[in-house]
Amino acid sequence: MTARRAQQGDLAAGVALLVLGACVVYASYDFREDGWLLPTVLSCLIGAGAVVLVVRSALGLHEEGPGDGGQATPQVSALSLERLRLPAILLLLTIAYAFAIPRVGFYVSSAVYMPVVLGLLGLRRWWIYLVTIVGFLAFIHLVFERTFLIPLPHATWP
Amino acid sequence: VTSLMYEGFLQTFTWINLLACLAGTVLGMVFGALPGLTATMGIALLVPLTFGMPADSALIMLTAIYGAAVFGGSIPAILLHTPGTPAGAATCIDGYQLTLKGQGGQALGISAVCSATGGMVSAFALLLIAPPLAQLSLMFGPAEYVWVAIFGLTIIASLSRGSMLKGLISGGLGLLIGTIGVDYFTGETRFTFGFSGLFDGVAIVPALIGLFSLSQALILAEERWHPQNRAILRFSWRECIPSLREYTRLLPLTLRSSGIGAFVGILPGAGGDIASWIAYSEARRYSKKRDQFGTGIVEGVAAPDPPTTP
Repeated sequence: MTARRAQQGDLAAGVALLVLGACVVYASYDFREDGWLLPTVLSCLIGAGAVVLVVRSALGLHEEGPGDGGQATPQVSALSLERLRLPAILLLLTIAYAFAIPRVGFYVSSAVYMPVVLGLLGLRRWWIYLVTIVGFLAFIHLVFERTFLIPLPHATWP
Repeated sequence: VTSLMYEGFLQTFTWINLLACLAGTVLGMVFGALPGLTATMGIALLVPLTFGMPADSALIMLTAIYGAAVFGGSIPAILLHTPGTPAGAATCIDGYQLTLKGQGGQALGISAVCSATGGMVSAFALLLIAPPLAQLSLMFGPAEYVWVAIFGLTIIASLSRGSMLKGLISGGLGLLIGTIGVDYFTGETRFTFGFSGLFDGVAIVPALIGLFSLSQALILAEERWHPQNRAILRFSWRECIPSLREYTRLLPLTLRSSGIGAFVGILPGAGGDIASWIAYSEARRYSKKRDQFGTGIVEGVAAPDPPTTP
């Protein structure tokens, strides 16, 4: 990672932290009694740190100039959409999976989520799909629902 | 007392007790290696297996489950950068770096041996000095806990590599996450957004899974852009057995970490996860190689593992 890229990351993180701090202060406003105090104080401290981070990284970027510091290989320096595509899709799928479990149940959502993720990660052998998905779900079922009688989320919809 | 201890010692080596120990170790390692299942959960889930067993065998099995589960948590921590148990989080730092260097087998061996040593030290500590330690723990009141909490926050200074500011901001974010849920003093629900699951706050296991496992899964997903981050998971069994020389070299560090684990372990509310971070921090602070901590050195694995089995 180049110094320039690290400073760009710091700048983005600092701005994100400032936004987060502002949101937390706003959300804490309605808390009764002294419930607002700790989150507000922490948010202000984080915001102060974020300001320092933003200023420091902005000054660093200004001193380097627009063309400096980009000596890394194109493979790692380019924060391209193509590079972010797969992690972003996986993240969205995982969020969807978490929301689907209480609604369509653990087994159905897992049976859909797992092959999609394995496919996205480049798995092509069908028998590995079968062994992984069936084996995992059977293991979970036997251990939790049969042996320890711990109910897993089942479909509540429709 | 000595004769009773001797009798108990002999009783341990009956075939049924050794079998119970073996079964508990295997089951515990499986539970510990699965992210999301802690050692305590493993015991809770496997207690029914001991109902039909003699009391001594049951106790041996449960102890083996606990110890093995905590060590099992280090296996995915070292190989996948995903702690199996909260106590394995500190092991991630250097353990996974060793795996990236192709020394994952060595890291696993060091972790196993140091965990076993820490477990034995803690067992002897429990056996010999449990009453005075219990009295010491009873002397801990609110003021002492405040100082323990402040001491815990000072670890940020020791663990922040590169930028203290980022370490402090991260610590602040951790404290902010700690405010989620019902406020103990006012009864106010904070930042729950109507989700009843957040009333108790963010539990440590989901937080660790989100922090380590999910981020690592996303990193692995873009692995082709980071060929240097590809873990080398091929190693022989021979690599997993540390040499006597290396073990001897790491023994003082292991014993110190075990002592930290025994002390932190007696404090109500504190457990192996806190002890492992303190041990890692102390190891780094007193090490001649403190700059190399976090880059993949065996001391970074040997330090946090012993106190996780108190």
